[in-house]
Amino acid sequence: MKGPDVSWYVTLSAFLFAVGALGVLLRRNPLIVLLSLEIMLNSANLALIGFARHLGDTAGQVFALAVMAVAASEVVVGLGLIVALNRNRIALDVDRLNTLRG
Amino acid sequence: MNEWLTTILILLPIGAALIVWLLPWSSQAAGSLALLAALAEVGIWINTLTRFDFDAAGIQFDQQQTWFDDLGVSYHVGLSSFSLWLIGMAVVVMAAAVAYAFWTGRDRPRAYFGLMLFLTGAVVGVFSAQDLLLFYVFFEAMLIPLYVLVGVWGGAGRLTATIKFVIYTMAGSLLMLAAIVVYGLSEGTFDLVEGADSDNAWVFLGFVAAFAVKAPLFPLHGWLPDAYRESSPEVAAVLSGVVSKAAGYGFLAIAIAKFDEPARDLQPLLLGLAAVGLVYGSIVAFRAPDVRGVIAYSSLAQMSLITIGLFALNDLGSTGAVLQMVNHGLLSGALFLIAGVIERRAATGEFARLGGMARGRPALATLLMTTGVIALAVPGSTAFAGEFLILAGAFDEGWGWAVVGGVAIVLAAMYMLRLISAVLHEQVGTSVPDEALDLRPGELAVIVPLVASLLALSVWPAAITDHLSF
Amino acid sequence: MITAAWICLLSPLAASLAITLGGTRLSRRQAGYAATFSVLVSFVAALVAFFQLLNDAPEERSHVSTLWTWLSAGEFEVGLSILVDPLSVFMMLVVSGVGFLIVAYSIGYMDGSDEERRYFAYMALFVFSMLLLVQSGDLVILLSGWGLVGLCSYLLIGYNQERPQAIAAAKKAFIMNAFGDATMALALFVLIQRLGTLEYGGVFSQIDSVGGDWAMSLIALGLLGGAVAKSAQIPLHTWLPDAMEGPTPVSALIHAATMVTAGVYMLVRLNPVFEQAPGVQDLAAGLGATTLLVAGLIALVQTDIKRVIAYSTMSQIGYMFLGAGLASYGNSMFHLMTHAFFKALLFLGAGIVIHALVSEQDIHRMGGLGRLLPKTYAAMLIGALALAGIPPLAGFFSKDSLLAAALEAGPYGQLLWAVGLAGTFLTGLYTFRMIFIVFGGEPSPFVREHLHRPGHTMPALWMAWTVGALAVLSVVGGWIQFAGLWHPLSDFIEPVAVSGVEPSGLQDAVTSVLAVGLGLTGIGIAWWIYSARRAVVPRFALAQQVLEHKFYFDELYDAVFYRPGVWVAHAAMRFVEGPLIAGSIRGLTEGTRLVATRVTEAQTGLLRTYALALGSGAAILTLVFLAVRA
Repeated sequence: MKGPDVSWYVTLSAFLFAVGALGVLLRRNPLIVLLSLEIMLNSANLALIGFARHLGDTAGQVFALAVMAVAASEVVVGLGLIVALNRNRIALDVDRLNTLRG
Repeated sequence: MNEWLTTILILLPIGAALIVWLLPWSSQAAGSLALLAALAEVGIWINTLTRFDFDAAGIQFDQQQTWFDDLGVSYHVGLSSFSLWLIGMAVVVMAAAVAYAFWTGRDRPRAYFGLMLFLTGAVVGVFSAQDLLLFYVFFEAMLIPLYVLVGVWGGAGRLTATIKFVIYTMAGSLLMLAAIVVYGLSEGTFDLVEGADSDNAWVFLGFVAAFAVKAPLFPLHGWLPDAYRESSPEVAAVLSGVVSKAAGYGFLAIAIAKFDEPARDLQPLLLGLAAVGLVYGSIVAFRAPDVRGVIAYSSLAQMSLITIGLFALNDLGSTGAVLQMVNHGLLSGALFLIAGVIERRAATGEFARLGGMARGRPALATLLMTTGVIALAVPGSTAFAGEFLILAGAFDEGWGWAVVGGVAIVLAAMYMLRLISAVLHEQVGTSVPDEALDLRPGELAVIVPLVASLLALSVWPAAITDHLSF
Repeated sequence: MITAAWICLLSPLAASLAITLGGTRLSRRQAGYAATFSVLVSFVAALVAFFQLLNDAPEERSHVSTLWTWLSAGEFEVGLSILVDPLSVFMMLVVSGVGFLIVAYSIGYMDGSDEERRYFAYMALFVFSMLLLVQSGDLVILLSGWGLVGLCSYLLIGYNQERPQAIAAAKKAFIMNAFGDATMALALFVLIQRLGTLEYGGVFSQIDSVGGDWAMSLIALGLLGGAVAKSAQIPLHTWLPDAMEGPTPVSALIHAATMVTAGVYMLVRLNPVFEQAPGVQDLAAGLGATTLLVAGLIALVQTDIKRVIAYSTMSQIGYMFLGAGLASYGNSMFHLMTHAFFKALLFLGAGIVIHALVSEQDIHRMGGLGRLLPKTYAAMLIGALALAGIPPLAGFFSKDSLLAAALEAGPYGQLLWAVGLAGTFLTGLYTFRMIFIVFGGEPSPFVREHLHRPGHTMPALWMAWTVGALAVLSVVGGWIQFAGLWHPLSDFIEPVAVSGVEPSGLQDAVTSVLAVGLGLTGIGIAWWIYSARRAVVPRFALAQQVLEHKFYFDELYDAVFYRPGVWVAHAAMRFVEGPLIAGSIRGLTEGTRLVATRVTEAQTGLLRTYALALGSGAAILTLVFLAVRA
């Protein structure tokens, strides 16, 4: 087995996931939130691929490809929404989009 | 032919309801058709009565069709001797109620009469279902038209009344559904004839809860005063006369028949609740400020008395209870309709503004007096016969229950005489117009048959008690 | 004989139904005739039954006839049955005979009242109910008759339905009697439990197997409760004086001659039951003695002519209870019959007086009527003398033999005998106080102004001949039995109720001398004070106050039962029905709403809070799974 040990990949993945999660929780601009979400998804991909390599099983890699496809479609919908918001001159701030408040 | 009789009894009014709903009848035509269907129902019941073999035990005219096989659920209907008598009372009172509504006239007649007919079918279904799930279906089907009848055609406070009624009955029904599911799954069948005795006290209590709300028993009667006051008189008559008997029937045919051991274990609890309700209902009836209030709380007392009879768990008690259920159905029906008659003339049921209606109105006076004294169980009346058997049965289970019943006899005399005098006697009330008429032919035609059946039963209460088997 | 008995029972019912259903198709007068005729039919049928019964050997004079099963449950069965035996035939004769005279009198008395039909329908219904009571062959049917006479009493006391006092009196009578019905029903429950039957024959033959002293006493006490309420004996007597609100013939028929004596009938009819509980029998006699004394005292100060007679009725029924309680059944029934004659006579005579004075009932506004209404005076005098027990009138024979029997019945009986003698003195005094005040002296201004003499109209004649007939009966009615010498009535009743005491000739003589002497003394004092006016009416402020308040029974019941009852009802409304029952559902809705408000606060609408909740939830779940796995 070449390259660094699987623990490195997992550590990096965890770090990226934390960065993404913090971004989702702390940033108010929906564009950045979407970006952070992508980081989280990719950190998951990294973990999947890392484990797949470690275990010698390609299923993880296939799964990562599926996640990428989902992420791509998600970005399409998300960006579309953001553009629509902008067109309607609605402030790009997730805290002010609280119409669902009970 | 015979095995179809029960099904016909159930489906005839429901079919008539569909016809009334779907076709564009005029209000006269809708009312006439409904009345015709209700009378036809009475006719079919009389036909059934003549064919019924009272010497044979068990269920007669039964019909069974598998509904879903894997759970042992089937469409199974049939008549026992006591359900036959209860159905008779129900169809007679329903016919009187329909006739009264037709005579008085109601808004949106097609919807109204359709609902009344549907209710008739559902009630007959409740009294004849021999499968628990089917029983539940009819039990709920009976409540839905009632919600609408109270909520749409009621008085000013009808919405509150309906909401209370819905909340109470829903809570009870859901407990019963749970109990039915547990019973059915543990016995492997939902059939009442095949199902074995169960000794599960929790399941028993689930059934009891539903019936205790429906009866109602103290302290679950919160829905009663509003519902009986706010609904139109004939719906109140049906509610207290007919629908409450579904509870008595349920106690007898399910809770007691299938749960022998829990019923015996919890007998003191149920007798106690009923005894409290009996005295409490009588006392509150004595202070109620209006005609319907007195009848409403006297219904609470009477249903408690019937429950005492049922849970005496002996021949005397249950025979008396069935007789008294029929009596109370007819009595309550007649009393609420008379209350409606009075309210139509005086525009109020409050005692403070009524009085002196006997003078010049002999038919009203005679009918109210007759019904009233039968309702207070004057010895020699059929209500006396029922109460006598119930209390004799209760005495066997402990002398205290009969003493409570004796107290209630005196209290019943007090509240009923108060009602009679406040309406008929002393000074003419401020709301009673001098030109208020005596009973009109239409009203007589509705009320006289009820009172006549009561008098006939008083001459021969054994017509029912001799033709019962449990 | 059975057919005759059924005709006797059902004829008044038929008349009542016909009058009710006929409505205005019958004229008022026709309604009166129909009712009177139906009771006459009853009387004739009763006579037929009587003579047919006499043909049987004395020990075979008991016939039961059942129409159909009235009520049943399991093994328990009640037949709609009548019993024809000496006692029931005797009562049938009294009820239908006196009833016929009084209903006939009503044709005159009620003439012109605009609800005559209702009156006669009720009267006929009453005669039916009373006959059902005395003819019943089963305790449940007895109780049914018992309740129905109470119902008719209620209807007739409240006949003047615009009068609040009449309605209140009617309700009071019904409710006190309902109490009696309830205790009777309890006694019946014990019998059902122990014997499984309520048919007379079955009960009497098995009564000694009831077992358990308390059960037997409970049965007898319950039955006695019914008797005491119906016969207006202490402590359930307060309804009877108020019942005088009813029309006078009603007072005569129901509250003097027939219904109120039903308690005595029951004591005699059920003597095998009561004899199993001697303590209760003694209690009955004691209550009778107390009532005769108390009622006699209260009658001394009453000012309403009908109330004086009503208290006198209570007092006389006290004598009958005394006799029946001491097992002197024949004499009790004898007194019941003579009392029916002379008390009906007194009431009907009072009715004529009231009629002539346009419904005035206060004796102090009357006076000097003796000269203005001489025939009425004569009739009332006969009634009063008979009541006071002066020979050779009816009351003398029956009351004296009854008291003589008490003298024979041991020390307790002798005590009651003394009380009874004191009662005869009071009877003479209060009766003649009334007679002298109403009829003696010069006509009072009120009488001069208001009197309208009954003419020779049809109504007046109906009233006159019936009163005359009762006057004759009050004279000759007592001759059918004379102490130890001649007692066909007691012999006739003997197969049903064997009297337990036979007084000796000496006891009879002593009692008669004392009773007549005391009665005459009472009359003498009444004459001295109220007629000759040689002495002023003695004044004892305290005693008078107590008597005028009728020993405070009404006040006591008001304070002990009515007020607390009303209070409990109010409390139930206020503290249970409002807050608990209606409140519970209101609380439920409010609670649901409160919880919902709190829960909605969690829905901030902020994306980031949701994300945080999601994230932390997932993290916690992960930790939990890890922990569980470890």
